[in-house]
Amino acid sequence: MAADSPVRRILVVDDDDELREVLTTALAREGHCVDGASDGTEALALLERQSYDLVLSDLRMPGTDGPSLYEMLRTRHHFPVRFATKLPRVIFMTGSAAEHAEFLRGTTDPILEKPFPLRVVRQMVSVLLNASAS
Amino acid sequence: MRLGPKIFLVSALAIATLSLAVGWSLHTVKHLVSVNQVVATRSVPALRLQVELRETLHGLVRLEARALVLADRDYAHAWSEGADRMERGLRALDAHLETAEERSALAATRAAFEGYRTLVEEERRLVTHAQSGAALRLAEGPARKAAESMEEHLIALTAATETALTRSQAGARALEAWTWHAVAAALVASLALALGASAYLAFRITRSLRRLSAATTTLASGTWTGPLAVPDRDEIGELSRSFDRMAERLRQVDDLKQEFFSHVSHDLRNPLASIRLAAETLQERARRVNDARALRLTQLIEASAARMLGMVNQILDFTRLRALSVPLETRPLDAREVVSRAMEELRPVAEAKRIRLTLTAAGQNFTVQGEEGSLVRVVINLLGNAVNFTAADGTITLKLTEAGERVRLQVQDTGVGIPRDLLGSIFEPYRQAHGRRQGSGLGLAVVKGLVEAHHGTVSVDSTPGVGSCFTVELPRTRQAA
Repeated sequence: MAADSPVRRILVVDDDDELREVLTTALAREGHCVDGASDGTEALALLERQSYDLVLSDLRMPGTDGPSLYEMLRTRHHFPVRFATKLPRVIFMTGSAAEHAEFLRGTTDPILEKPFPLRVVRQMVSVLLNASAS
Repeated sequence: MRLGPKIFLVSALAIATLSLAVGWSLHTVKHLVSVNQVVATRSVPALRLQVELRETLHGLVRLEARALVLADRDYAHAWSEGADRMERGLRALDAHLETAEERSALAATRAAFEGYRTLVEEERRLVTHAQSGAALRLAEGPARKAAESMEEHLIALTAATETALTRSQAGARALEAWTWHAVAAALVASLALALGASAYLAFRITRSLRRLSAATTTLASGTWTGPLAVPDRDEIGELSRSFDRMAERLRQVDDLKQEFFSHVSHDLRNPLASIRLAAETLQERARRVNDARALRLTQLIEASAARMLGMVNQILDFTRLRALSVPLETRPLDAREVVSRAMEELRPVAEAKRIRLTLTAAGQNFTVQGEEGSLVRVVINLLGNAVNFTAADGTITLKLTEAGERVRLQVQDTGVGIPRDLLGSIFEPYRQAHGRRQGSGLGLAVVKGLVEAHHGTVSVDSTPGVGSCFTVELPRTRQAA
């Protein structure tokens, strides 16, 4: 997979160190270049430095949480015009979709409810990366 | 002011007004009695005396004439006695008189009598000196005039006494009338005051109690919005403030509970996600290097994590139902889709046990009013139980039927069945028909709670060794809470 397709950059944003490491490892094994950030502020700093094809972001984090990160990305980079500006696609991760129901109703981006199986996250990442490549 | 003093004050006010009215009437009665006393002890005897004095005067005039014409000493003596009686009578009359008019009339009467008496004594002197002619002239002239003048003064005195009597009687009548009016007015006023104050007090108390009652109802139904904020300083005000504090405390507890659920949900799912992903990654590696033992161990980790997640979900669902902390967000749903979603979720487990899953639908319209996640959970729990308790190569049949205003779902398995004595308590929490099976013991309690939250019903029929059939009925339309 890694051999016949260009290396894609993925950013995993989660305050849970173990989950972030497991996800980073699993996605890196797919041949992607994966970075991790423990909150929205750290993620924004990384996003300023270089572009990512995909961001997997937890919703509930200390400091800048998922919805705030999403809001900042959208206002800073005119997020909806994704293809023109080559902005990353987003997958949200949450332990409780009910808690963020209102935010999730206002977005069309996919949601992974924890704990999700590896095949599901892998499939979702592959679909979104292919979509942004085409 | 507290309620006790308020009620006491109202009663005291009414009693004080009534007491004032009674005091005033007693005072007036005393006055009326004194007027009657005056009439009885002064006016009546005075009038009687005046009549007697006029008769005595007539007698004296007659005796004077006889003594003069007959020159009889006995008549002269009788005249003197009559004159003394007149003198005493006039003195006695003085004690019975009230007004200045009466007294001046009496004084004039006395003066006239003195004049008459002097003239009569002059007549006697003339008779003694054998001047009968002169005495007779004196008697028919000035003495007669003096007697007539005295009678006129006596008549004037009687008139003055009668006037005084009439005046005091009129005063008494006026006082009596005024007293009646005053007592009636005081009675009406005190009655109105007592009724008004009691009504106001009763209105305030019942209004406060009604507000409290309404607040309790809204608090119980979970729609309480704000404090009662009753400023009264009485017991009801205190009760309202306690109620406000209790409601605020309940709200805080409710917030804490929400926060707790959210935390637990989040904090347990994060490590479970790590365990699951790590196990799956290891599983892939073990498969690649063909390490059977490592593969088995990672499968065990994954299965345990899945089981733990199932239990966490059940406990959270059950706690949520118990606390009624999150209201259901219902919308019209196609029950077929709900059942299909649950079947898709459990199909891999069923297939692993070579259990055949089938869905039959009798009818066209399976729309129910419900919350999708909750109803999927209901079917997953029922289907999961069926899969657990059905041996390999068994069959599980899900049947959807239109039942008038309701939609019926039956989950029929060919499992071990439930002992008859446990059928009644199978929906109670932590009650498992087969203790050796795994699970939280909350699955069916959650089913019952969720179905009832949708205003539906759930029942079970089972024959041990043959299989069980769970029946859920859900209303099509929104039900009043």
